[in-house]
Amino acid sequence: MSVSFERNEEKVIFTFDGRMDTIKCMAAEKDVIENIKDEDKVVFDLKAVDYIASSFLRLCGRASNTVQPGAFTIINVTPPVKKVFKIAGLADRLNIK
Amino acid sequence: MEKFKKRAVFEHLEEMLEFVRSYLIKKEADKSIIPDIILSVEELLVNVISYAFPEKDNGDVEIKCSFKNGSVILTFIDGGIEFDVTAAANPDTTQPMHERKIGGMGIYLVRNVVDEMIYERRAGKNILTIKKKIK
Repeated sequence: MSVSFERNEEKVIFTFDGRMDTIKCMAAEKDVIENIKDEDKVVFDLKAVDYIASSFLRLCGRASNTVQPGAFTIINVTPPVKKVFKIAGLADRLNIK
Repeated sequence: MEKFKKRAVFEHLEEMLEFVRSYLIKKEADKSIIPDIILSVEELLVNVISYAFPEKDNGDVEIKCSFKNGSVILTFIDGGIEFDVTAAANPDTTQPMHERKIGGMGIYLVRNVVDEMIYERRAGKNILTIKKKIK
């Protein structure tokens, strides 16, 4: 599995793993979006991710747009992943911590 | 030069990426550069797989790898609909994600990580070449 999630009272945390390439993102997208619709806070934990394709940026964008403004956070971004967010102009537009 | 030809479908994507990855390792590419090139190759192949054959079964895509003056040169050839990647508009990176064009971000990433990108349409084929210094 390239993504697992745990839910507690205040938020749902998705932990992604390894390479989030196009095929893995396509497989994960439906699960992620279906599980965040009614959430107050959504967190993507990327500590174990060392590669993302543009499809992961799109997944972040969809997640961010599905929940209330400010309710979506990305944590533990590794340097190679941060580089891609920066090139895409999203490092400042998504809530990355 | 090394060549690899496969039907342009998602099932073959990893195999095609592995072909390029092996070539880069063989040419002793700087390890910090390899992810940028693999990202570019993935984005370009996903574009071909997703959009080049809208009205028929997907045809083949061929990848040619060569190395000159410290740069890797990768050429992608497909017989799909004419599409000049180099002419595609950049997404407005100041726009919110949901207002951006689907597909535009991948090409934008490629444009930002490779040193050169050249498109030709010849004999009914899209021929796209990217160059990147690897040492």
